[in-house]
Amino acid sequence: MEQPVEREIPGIRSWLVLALAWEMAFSVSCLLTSTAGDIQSRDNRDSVTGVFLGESRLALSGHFYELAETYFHGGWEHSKQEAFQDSIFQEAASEISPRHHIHVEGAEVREIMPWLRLATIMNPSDVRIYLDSAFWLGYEAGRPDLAEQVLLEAQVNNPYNYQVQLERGRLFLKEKRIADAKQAFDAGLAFWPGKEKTDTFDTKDGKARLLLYRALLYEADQKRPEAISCLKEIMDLFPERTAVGERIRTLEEGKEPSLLASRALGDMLKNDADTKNEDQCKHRGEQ
Amino acid sequence: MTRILTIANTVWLEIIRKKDVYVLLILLGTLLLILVSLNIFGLGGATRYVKDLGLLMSWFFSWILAVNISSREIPTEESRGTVFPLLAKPITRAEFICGKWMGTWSVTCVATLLFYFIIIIVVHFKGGTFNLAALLQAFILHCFVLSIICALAIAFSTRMNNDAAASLTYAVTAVSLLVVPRVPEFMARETGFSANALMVIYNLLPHFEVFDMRIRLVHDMGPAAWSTVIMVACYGVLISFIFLLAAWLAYRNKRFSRSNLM
Repeated sequence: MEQPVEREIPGIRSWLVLALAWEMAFSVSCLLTSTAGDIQSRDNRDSVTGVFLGESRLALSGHFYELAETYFHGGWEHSKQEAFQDSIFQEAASEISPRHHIHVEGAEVREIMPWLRLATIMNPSDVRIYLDSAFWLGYEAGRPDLAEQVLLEAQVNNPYNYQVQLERGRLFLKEKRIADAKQAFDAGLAFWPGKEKTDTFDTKDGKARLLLYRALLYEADQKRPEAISCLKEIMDLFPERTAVGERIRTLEEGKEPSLLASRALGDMLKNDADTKNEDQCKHRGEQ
Repeated sequence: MTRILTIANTVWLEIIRKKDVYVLLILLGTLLLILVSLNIFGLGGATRYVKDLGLLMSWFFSWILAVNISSREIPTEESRGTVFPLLAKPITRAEFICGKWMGTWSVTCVATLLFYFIIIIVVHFKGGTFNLAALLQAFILHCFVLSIICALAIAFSTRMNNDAAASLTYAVTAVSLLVVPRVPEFMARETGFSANALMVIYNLLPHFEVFDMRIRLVHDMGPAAWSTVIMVACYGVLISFIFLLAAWLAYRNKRFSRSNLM
């Protein structure tokens, strides 16, 4: 005869198992929270991307930056070096996807901005991407207000970076906001060299540019001793820059330089913008 | 032809019952909406990145769909045993293969068309447009790539189970999509055995890059010459035919045993 199956009523044992499981879940949750806290404290600038993507976000940032460059060249990948270019497949592919080497300009520049934006989201500590974004927004896209916001974001993510201040100063000068420009250049000089090595050309040139802008602004304010002091610092960095030496002598003699400060500032801004534009068009392997 | 269409119709009915296409459509729509909501330094008017990523996703999703659907059709029929009543009817094995290919290819093409519609709507919503002639060419060439992928997956699935066929098709098509177009670049740095191996891959595998009109569409370069499109389409037909022929050769004398029924 079959014995009736005695159904187990959920008793104290079940409640104990439930409490134990609950306790384990709570412990794991606490552990995860503390780990997340560690990650945030290591690099709290990219909490979401940092936690989800880890170091791969740096590779993604580089890829997005390259995509921005490809878009700037109208879809043409200038970094391609091929062993042969005459196969039937390459000819068909080049007719299907032509390689016209162009440089986008004007309002079309806005098409490269999404990739630069994604690159900054992936790697907010790469100042170069912020500087490029601000340059294109301020010059080609004609949106200096947005360029200023980008540089503010760059400043928040990279405090005490002199390059951000140099770019802000240029932007303010272009906008004729002289007082803001002076503040930005002074801040740049105070922050120099930051995390950069002091013996590289780019770092020294960055300081020389800050000093030259500041000297010209002092000159425009008729503060010649301060201007001379800045120019002398440039000569310490680059003794071969004879034009700066001549300007020092002219100012020390109490004469007016042949190129007035306001005109020199305008020329320098234009020159810097042209150089930046040429840098974007300079292709790998080209001088 | 009627028998081929009947088999293709059964493929359609089965795929409609399963919900792969809907999932991918919802996923594409969601990803595109997330993309559109990205704040680009407060600047509006940029649409090329939406076109670019949208088309990339449509290529990716259609690839997944083509491989998954095509590689499971014949092994599923065999493991269920439904292939026996089917082949007992006056249907040749060539018709069976062609019917399966036509069904899977037409389903993936229609799904891709829906992907394109979603992209057009989202791009239009962002204020961008497509050159319609170029878009039509891009879609036609995309369909030929899907035809090759479906034919390859069916060829593998005639002698393998579902998972093995899918894995092999993924591997071969991934190499065709990602490595083959860059072989000329790799060759600039390689010598000896690796260079020879690269040349073998270059000449052996299908060239999907000739079907890819995304750059033309994204950068608004207008339509390509129809003569080129037709030439590339002929290449697509030839490669699909070769894979279908291989599938038929592998399947025509295949014997089934009860041990296949799992």
